[in-house]
Amino acid sequence: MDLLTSVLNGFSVALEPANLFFCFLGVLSGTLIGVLPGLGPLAAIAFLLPVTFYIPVVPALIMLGGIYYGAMYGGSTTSILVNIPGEAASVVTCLDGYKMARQGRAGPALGIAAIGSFFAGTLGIFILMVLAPPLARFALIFGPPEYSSLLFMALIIIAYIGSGEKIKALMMVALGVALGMIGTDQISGNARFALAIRELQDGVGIVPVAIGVFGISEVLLNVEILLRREVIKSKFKGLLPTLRDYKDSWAAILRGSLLGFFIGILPGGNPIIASFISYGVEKKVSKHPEKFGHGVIEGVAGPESANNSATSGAFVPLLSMGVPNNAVMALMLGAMIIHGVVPGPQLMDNAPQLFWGIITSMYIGNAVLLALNLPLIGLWVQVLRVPYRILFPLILIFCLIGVYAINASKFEMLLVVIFGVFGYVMRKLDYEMAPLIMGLIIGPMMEIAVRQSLLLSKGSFAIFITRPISACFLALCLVILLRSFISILRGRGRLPEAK
Amino acid sequence: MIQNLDVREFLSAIFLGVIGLLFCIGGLSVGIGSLASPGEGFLPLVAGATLLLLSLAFAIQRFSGKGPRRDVKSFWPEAKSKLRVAYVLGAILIYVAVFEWMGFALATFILFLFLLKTIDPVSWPNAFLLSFLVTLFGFFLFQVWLHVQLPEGWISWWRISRWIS
Repeated sequence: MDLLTSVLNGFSVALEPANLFFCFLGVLSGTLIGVLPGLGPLAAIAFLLPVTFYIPVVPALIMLGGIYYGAMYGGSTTSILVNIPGEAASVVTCLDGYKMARQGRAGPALGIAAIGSFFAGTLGIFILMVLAPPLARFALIFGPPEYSSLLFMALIIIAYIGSGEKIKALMMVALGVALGMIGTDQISGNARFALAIRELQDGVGIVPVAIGVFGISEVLLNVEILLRREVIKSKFKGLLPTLRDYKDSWAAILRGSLLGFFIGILPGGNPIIASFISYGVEKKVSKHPEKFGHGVIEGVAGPESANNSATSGAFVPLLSMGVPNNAVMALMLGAMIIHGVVPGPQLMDNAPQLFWGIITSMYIGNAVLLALNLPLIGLWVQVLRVPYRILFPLILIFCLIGVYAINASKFEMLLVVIFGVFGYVMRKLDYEMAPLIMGLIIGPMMEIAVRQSLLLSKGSFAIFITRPISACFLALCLVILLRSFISILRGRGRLPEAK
Repeated sequence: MIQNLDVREFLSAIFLGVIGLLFCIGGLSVGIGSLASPGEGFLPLVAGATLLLLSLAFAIQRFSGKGPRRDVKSFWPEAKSKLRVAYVLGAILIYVAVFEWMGFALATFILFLFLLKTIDPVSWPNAFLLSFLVTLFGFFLFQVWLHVQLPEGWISWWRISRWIS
């Protein structure tokens, strides 16, 4: 089947009325949650994951994709209008977006963010279509040792790339892997560490942990200080950017889109890094770098395109190799596994409808995003005005009922609260939660791959270094770990914080 | 040395170290097998030992005052922060405890009302109206649209709704 036929098939799946509806619903709810300060894409997916369990697998995954890029875009609205990023990837948009809004140019800032995101998403999906199939074919030569090393590398990089101390991130990865070991052993079929609790025999669920550490802990952190948000009170006339705005920003959009996509593919690469690098590049190539931070449109166009494009890029390793490269993708992987879909090299051949349906639905989702965001800016501004004192009980209730809805289990509701408290305390102590989720999801996959590798090699660890691809992954891990340990021994271990 | 010790960070390392140790013991007790045929305790032991070693390294680093300098902030940013967090936590714990016994509708209504009136109070009429609307929305989303069997508890308005329809 050639690429064009596959893409057309994908469109026929994505354009089915039910799939179109769930794509729209995902984008709408993602944008809505992204607009609410404090709830980023990770929390949005965790929060809405239970809802997708009640719909078939294709629309469920299409909806989750929509939530992801909807939340990514929604985050920029709060950055521009309130100077509070809805999610971390929109932090950099505050610098120039909010300044533009204060100068009475909130409309063009929001408009260029939507148009840049649409262009980036479209370009990203086009490259994804071209790149994912050959990568999947390449991944077909992977055996258990290569997968073990690749998964190990993904864990190490997620710990290394975080903004906090590396040792803390490594501890969270190890804890996540250990928690992933709870439940029935997939090889022997025996229950481990279940403490005679029926629910634990199936393992510690991804959803209760994710909702706890991202949803509940976020609410607990936010109720500590009651902030009043000041929304820019300007009328949104002239939402579409002017010709001058387009002329100033087209190159930034193009650069941001390409840069974002390739950063998104890299293990550990995520929209946050993409947006910061794009901002740095724009400032560097600009003829007037001194104006950055004072409301230039390139400072919005570049990062917004980059973070949206990175979203598409992140799907490449997930769909073609079954390896998530960041925590959001890890949650997507978890959702796929719960739905009985095993992403990886065989997905394209075994379930082409699903593979191409998801990819093409992203394109449609981007169009929906554009159609939704430009005319509905006024509505999002109203959403921003909903006070947090009304929002937080709503978030809490839907987190708890959402978890109950999965297995009708009170124990899982309790798990949410336990992980909520854990996440709250640990986040106050500057531990990151994304490595924990990565460890929890990747741990059981890695366990099977490692045990199969050792069975194949009759107990020799040499199998991991005698196979070239595996050796390359491990060499990269070694370099990263050595660098981390040197910085830990020197008492640093913290990446310079982005200002 | 010890004057610079951030007790909370030190305690977090000890806590994680204990979890690591428990996984090591658990891994050994379920059987780690051999290298040629790893048992079900093999990776839990590796993960637990890694967590334990990292926690020890972190605790020693903090104890010796070699860690990166961070501002030791007060755990509670405002005087009332502790109370607000305690209210929210207490409320959701009670909600979980009574959810099946009291039923979705009543428990959700009371939790919403409590949170609206305690953390950053809204007026009584608004609190009642919002609590009612949210409970109704939750019912339609989960019970009617997603067909989730929510506990009826005391008020079986499911029957009332069936009777109406």
